[in-house]
Amino acid sequence: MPPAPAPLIMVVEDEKDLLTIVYRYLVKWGFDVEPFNDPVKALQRFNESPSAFSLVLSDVRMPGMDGIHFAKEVLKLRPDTRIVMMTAFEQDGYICSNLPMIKKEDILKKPFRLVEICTAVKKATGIAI
Amino acid sequence: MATAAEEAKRQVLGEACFGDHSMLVYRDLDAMRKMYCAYCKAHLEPGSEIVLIATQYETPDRVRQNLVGYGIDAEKYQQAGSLVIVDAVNGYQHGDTDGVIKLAKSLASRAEKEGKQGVCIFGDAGSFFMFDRLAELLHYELSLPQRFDLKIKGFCSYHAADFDRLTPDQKQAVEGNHCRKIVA
Repeated sequence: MPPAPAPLIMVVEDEKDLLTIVYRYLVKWGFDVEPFNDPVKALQRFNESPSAFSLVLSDVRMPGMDGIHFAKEVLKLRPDTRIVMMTAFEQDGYICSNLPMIKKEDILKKPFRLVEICTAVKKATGIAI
Repeated sequence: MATAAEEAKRQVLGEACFGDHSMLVYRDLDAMRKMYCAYCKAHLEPGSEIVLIATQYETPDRVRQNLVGYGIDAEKYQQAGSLVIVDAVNGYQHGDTDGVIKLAKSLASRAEKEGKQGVCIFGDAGSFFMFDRLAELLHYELSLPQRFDLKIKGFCSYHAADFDRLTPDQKQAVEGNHCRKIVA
């Protein structure tokens, strides 16, 4: 029997350096990753195949489309999408009030250790890699 | 021939004067960092100005780290009060859209008392887009004069992806209320 495909993670982060680091790390841990530094393009991609992604990992403050708006649009396309938000700012209240399914303790605070990303992704996907 | 980035830097560093209300459209964070770092290097170190940065897409601490990485003793200037870095969400969206400009006016008074030339603001407008407050953004921008009658040099800063969310009429209104548009 062929092995199950690795979970596909969409990562949306406007800081290109950080996006690259997160991308490489998640790939190293066995995830398939589609990275985007533009939330508008990420949303277009998600719209093409909403069921393809096991998880969406998104920054909050991004130019062009705020991460909260992005997440709400993603949830309109697929309401059961698992989403993890990451932010460098103190804005847990803003995130949780707009996205009630996200628990405060599940918000990734930048700067984070890379192992924290992996732990958060594993927890959100419920998949052991 | 000067690149767009060099031309933007020339306008920010050499052309804008106190009283000017300019707008700065930056294509990415790196372009914005180069602008405020070069400005601070040129104007904080001689002790001639107060610089106020209202940051949207980087934390105030990250801005400070960028300045340190550029060879600027940011902590020294922050302690001396000549460098002020605030979160633009707090400055524009927490109760008072005029928070940043009020702070700038108070800093301009202090600059005068301290014998400095004035205060320069880099105020990122991104929080208006974040909270879908484009009507408030237009109202705020149009409430400001093209030229300040105080020793304030303002750069209303827009990430290009945010600025592109405005309609052509809105863009024209915003551009028309600034004395220059700089593209970095």
